[in-house]
Amino acid sequence: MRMIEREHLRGLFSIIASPIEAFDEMRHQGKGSLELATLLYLLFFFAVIANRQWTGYLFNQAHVERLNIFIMMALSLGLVLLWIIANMAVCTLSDGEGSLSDVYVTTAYALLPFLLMTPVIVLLSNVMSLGEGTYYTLMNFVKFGWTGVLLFTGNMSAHQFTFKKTVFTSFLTIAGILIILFMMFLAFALVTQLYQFIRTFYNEIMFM
Amino acid sequence: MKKIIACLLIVMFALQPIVAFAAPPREAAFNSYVFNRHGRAVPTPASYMPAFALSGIDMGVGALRNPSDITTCAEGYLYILDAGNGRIIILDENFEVAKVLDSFTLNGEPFYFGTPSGMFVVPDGRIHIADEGLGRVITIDREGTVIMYLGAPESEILSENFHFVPIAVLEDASGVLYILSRGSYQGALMVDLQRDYLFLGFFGANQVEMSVAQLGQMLWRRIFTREQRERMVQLIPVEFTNFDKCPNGFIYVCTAFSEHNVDQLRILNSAGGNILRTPEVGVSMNYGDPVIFTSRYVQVTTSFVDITYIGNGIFAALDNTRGRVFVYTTDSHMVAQFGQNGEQLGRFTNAVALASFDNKIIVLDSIRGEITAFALTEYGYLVQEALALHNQGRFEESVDHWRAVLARNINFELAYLGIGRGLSRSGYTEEALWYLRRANNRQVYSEVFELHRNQFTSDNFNALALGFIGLCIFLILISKRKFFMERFSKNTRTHERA
Repeated sequence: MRMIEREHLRGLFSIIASPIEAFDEMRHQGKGSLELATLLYLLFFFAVIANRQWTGYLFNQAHVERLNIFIMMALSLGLVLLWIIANMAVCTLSDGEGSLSDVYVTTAYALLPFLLMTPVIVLLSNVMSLGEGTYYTLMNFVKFGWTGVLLFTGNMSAHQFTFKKTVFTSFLTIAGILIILFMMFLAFALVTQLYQFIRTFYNEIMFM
Repeated sequence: MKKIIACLLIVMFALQPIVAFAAPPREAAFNSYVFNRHGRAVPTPASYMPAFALSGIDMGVGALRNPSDITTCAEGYLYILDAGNGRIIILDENFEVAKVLDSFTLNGEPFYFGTPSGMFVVPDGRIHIADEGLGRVITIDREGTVIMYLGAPESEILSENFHFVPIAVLEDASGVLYILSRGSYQGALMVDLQRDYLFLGFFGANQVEMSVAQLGQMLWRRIFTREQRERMVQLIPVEFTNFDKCPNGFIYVCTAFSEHNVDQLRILNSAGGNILRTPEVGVSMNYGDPVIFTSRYVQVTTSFVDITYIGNGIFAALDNTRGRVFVYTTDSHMVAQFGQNGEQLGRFTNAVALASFDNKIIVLDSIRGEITAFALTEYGYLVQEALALHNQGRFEESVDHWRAVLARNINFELAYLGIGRGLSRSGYTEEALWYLRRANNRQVYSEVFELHRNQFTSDNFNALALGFIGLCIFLILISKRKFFMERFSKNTRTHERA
């Protein structure tokens, strides 16, 4: 069984050369693959962990001995998931054409520069001294900038938006992420309260 | 028989307090700690242990009343300023009273102090006393004759409502008197003794700390009219509280309270610039204990009241809030901590002054009216020995000393730093990196890392170059594999034909 075909991989790497065309092709000729996207997310998770654990000592401020995999998961995959959900919600309301799978796939593909550059940066950070720290910062800047640009173009083509509208919806998406986080916090607080209420109630009846 | 038992019991009871007093204080009773680079307090063996405490009665000169300062002089005497009794007690190196100065004369008339709060002994034997109550700086000679009686200097720089309340004083080698006046945020007043008490200006003011309030003010100042501006609250730097001179001429300054609790300790050069280095270049550091909020509005801060240079590039500062003494190197590495408010030996009620005397650190408690001497422990001695070599730049020799320190305190970052530096000097860069990593000093690590990298590349140049060329060839083959494959098959075909 070959779920990820060669065609998909070629589509993925053409993003580097011409992102706009590649994303459009993906959308119109069905070159995007859900399986490949999932694999990319997994790789993204590994890249984030590698970045934290294997970045050279001079550039690594993290407590390498202490790794909480769940927090890392929340910070990488959780954030991506929030982005997808919030983006889906916002763009459906503003007449975006993309389906959930479209957003899922384009977001995954947009992470490609992150996946490609992280190993290089992690390797280089192990042989660089603080004097060469500027290059390290620059590379990181390029990494995040490129990823951001791809995320933007991917989103634009997935929903068939204009440039302006994409900017607008991107900001709304970020606001949406914050709202979702706030709601989660609220729900958590409410559930705790409810639980305590029921518990008190139960205690009151049982041991009166 | 009964008599014998009774006698024995009496002897036992009589001896008991003596035995109890004779028992040396245990190290475990004094939880010493050192802050590491992450700001965590790491338990540490004690560097100093209380040796003994001496009250005025123990010295045989009668109880001290509100003593306010202690200081040492080059000849090896310890001076205690007994403010309440208006006298100066001079102890020799055996802590025996050498002299008591209790009667002073000014122009032949008897002279009495107000509330003297600071004292400085010049190598030639003169004693400067900052008298807070009289608002005067008084200089006496060895016999107690007042030879200078200095009020507020006259100058246009000083504003009209300037109050001259001297609390500390010192004289540098060129005969300039530095007077610290309470509430003077511009710094210490400099008075030239050689040039007829000429006022030279201010020295070493603290800087206004950048804060949100200050940024806000800077914004409003641009908008407001002149009248409005004049009615604004002025943001001024905090005054510093005490200073001390070290033998090579630098002035050590401490500040009791600062808003952000950074830079409370400084070492000033003659231009008034701070030369106390911090582990991370350009980043201010918090000295003493971090601020603790006991409630939302009440915070407990470290308030340094005295500072003294010990030697070997280390100095000590006294925190009045908790009665703790902190010892730092001139690189701002914390070396030791000892003392505490409390009742036992080595604890204080109101610690006000600090002096380094004969390898001991002396702390003056003004309410109890006694001095406590802290002596170096074996561990403390090892640390100072290693530091002495370290400061002279003899890193290679200091390695063994640091290893001895490390054997007693495996959490001591400074020891790792010392070993790392020493090893890298001797060329063992790889081992040095191992230590420097534990020293948590990225700056030095980076320097040694560069050395190690250069060494590694020059040692393995052939292998690296070959590997690089190999990699290039491999990449070319991979990218042009179609071309080569066609060539190859064509060749075989021609061979077949032939």
